[in-house]
Amino acid sequence: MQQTEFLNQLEAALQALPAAERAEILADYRAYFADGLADGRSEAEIAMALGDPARLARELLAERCLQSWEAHKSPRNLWGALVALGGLGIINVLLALPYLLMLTVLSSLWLGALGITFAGLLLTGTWATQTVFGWPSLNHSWATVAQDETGWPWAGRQAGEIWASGPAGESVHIQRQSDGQVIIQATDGDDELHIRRDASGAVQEIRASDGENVLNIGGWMGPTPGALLATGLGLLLLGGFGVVVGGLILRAIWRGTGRWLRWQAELVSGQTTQSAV
Amino acid sequence: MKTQLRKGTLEMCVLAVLAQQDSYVYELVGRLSASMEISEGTIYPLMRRLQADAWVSTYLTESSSGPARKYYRLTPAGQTALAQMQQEWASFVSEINQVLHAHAAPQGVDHATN
Repeated sequence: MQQTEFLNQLEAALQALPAAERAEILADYRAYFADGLADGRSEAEIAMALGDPARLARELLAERCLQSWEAHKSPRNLWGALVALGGLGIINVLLALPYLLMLTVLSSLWLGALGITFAGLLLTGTWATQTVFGWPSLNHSWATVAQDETGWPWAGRQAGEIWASGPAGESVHIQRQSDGQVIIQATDGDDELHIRRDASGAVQEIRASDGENVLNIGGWMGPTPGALLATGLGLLLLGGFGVVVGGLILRAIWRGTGRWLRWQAELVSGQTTQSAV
Repeated sequence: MKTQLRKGTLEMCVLAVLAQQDSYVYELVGRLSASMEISEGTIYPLMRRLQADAWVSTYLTESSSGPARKYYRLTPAGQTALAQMQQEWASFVSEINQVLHAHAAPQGVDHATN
């Protein structure tokens, strides 16, 4: 093989590289030929000594991909390095797929843990602002008075009570009792919805009936400040644990991958001392 | 085994040659091949890696014949790396020598009498 042919093949095989980098590599090999010729060797001799240009290109490309991966550990660079090394026959890309899948699943789990942590933070933060500033209020009070124009002929408001009723006997009553309980009752003929809230703001009972069937849900835990804090801290603990442990595992795998790929690459290009043992 | 040993230590040898004086690739290959067998093609990927690791740096010098030559120079980081490699190499060699000499020693030492 002559110099021109060698350089052309090398250039063709290095298409994936940026033009400037490709030109630099080609200039290096051109200089090598020039030095060799000045040394009295023939072009064919030098080309033979340098080896197969396609093989050299694959090595240069793999090296380049590994550098990108080491500089910036993004999934894209990982994929690039895997494909480049696969091209060198260093690793089997098909074997790498389950590995990538596992990495993806682990990353998703980690993101889930992150989400739980955020939820915990939110709840704990709500508890803190609620305790310190009284906001947001857990004890929502509503005081909308139905207007005559809405078609409700009878609506009214008196101490602790808001009520509205329609022409067909349908009515809504909101009533605050002296012990702090709030009762909301909506009726329409036989249908009835009854919601009872205690003084702390927790829903104690929801009862719905259509005259024949009755659904009754009682003993509800409302969003009391204590429950809010406990849930928030629980989520924080759980999520934080997941994030830390998952993060450590991911980081170890992520870094291990780089080292493993580098080691594999060096094994083949023969740059590792491990291969000497 | 000899091939692998040689390949595995090529990086250290390149650094060692550069530690003596700056050089360009063709000259480097000449120096190395004077005492060891090397594959000339693999030297460029190796040099690019050394450069990426900032163990060597390059500069251009006008040459008497033809275009400017790219010289490689060992950086302080490269010197540190070389020193560490040499230390590891020495301890590796002495370990292996110990094993080899222990097995080459005359047989028949009776450990039971101790």
